[in-house]
Amino acid sequence: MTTKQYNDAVDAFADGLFRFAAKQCNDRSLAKDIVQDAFTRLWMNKENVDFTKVKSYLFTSVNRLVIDYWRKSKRMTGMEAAPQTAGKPDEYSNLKEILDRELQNLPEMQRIVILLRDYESFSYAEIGVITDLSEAQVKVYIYRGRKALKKRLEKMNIVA
Amino acid sequence: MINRQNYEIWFLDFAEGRLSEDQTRALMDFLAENEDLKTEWEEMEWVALPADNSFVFDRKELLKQPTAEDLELTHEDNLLIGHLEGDLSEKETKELNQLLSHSPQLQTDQKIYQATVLKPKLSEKYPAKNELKRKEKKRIPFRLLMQMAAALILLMALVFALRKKDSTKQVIPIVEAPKVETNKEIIPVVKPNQAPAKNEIKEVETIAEIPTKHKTSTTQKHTKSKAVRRELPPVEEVKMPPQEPVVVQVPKSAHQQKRPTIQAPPKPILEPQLPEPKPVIAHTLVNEKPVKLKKESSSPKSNSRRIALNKPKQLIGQVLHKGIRKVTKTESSSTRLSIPEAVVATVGKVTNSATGYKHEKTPTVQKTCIRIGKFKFSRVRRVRR
Repeated sequence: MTTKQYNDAVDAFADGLFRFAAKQCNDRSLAKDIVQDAFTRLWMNKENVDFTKVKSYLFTSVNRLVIDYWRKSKRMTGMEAAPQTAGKPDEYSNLKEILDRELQNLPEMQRIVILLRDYESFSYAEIGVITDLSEAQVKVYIYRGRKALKKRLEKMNIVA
Repeated sequence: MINRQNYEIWFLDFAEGRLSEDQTRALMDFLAENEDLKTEWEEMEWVALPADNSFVFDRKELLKQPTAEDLELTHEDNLLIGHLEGDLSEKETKELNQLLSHSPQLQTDQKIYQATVLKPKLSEKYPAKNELKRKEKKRIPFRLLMQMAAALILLMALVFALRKKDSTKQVIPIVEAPKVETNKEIIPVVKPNQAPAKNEIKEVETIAEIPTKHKTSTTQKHTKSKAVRRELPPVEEVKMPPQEPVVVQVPKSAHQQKRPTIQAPPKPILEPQLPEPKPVIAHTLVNEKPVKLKKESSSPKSNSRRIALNKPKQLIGQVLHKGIRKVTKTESSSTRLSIPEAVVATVGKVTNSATGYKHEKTPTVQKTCIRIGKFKFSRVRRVRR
């Protein structure tokens, strides 16, 4: 991969990676650091990375960095990240905020695959590469995640 | 019907399991009737290879698509999510449309599922994208680099050659010769504290052009001096420090045709009294400041300094020594080297090897040993009495 291709990748994917990381860790400055780390890794391995696969490479890097962050933070707190309790419907002004909040309550892998699917429109196969899962497993996680989100939205009677 | 003309086809079909029960029975009856073919039949049995059941594809589960049961979903939910994800076939899409047309609850469920699709906030962008970008390094092709290096070397060689060529026209002795005429030759004299008048400057002569042999015939002298005069300009100023201007003056007298020699003021020194000069390499004296000869310059009696052309060996030695000191950086008096030592040290510096120099002198023998790296040179010389 050339320097120009690398810079093109920055232009094309930095925003998406930042949004993905920010949704995962709920911390913009941390997300920024994670994206920077991912691009640093890409630059270090630019000779070995095919430009056609650079998007998957970057999202894989960010995903692993986010998981590492989660594992470290769990170790530091000494407890599993407790799922947030469902808030009252009137606390949120619109569906997007509710959905974002409910997304954080999903299991880690369901959240990751749904984010990759909805934010970046990755195929099951691409998500499988990024998350080290089979296509069937990706599908299962996505379907279960959608079902879980639907149940929570149903409870809130927001969508009618 | 099996017979002796087609029984081989029947055998093969039996081996591959393509015969029905009736055909198999007919084959067995045929074999009972024709016992001579039994041997051939028995030989054909081994052709069939048993299946090796040890080979098992262990990734079946990965290839399987999850069913509604696997997903723990109802059939309707599976169709709704499948529609949302674009996983449904045409048949399943038709089925879903039929279900939706009959079930308002399913329509509501479909809306809720559609609401679960996350939409990225595109206005949220990475704040410092330019910090991530890298500048492209322009690499100079190796061939171009080599061409540049070759051009540089040629340029340096050209400059060096030109300087060397110019140096042959530079002047050495700065001479203000007193207008004293000897019987045959004029000896140039250095007068450092007094700048010569321009009208006194007549001609400049290089060291290289000093004849090697002092005593030559008159015709030889004439031809040599003429040759020198053709090369030199008629009048040339010497580029030397202002306090010590250097010029060679050749008198207008009839002795102009004769080779100038060194004269020690105030009394002119006759040619026969001078020691025989030896050939001097001109470029060794290029751009060097006038050499200060302590004994002569410190003489209070004479206001002028005399360049020791009568001692060219010493002069060259001093200049060489000075140049070598610069290379070997042995300026301090404590580490001052003799000329041979300095030369050996310089060779050692250039070749990056260890050197050694030893000189022993006895009343009868002089022994010199030089070591440069792995090479040793030694010379023993008897001292002449």
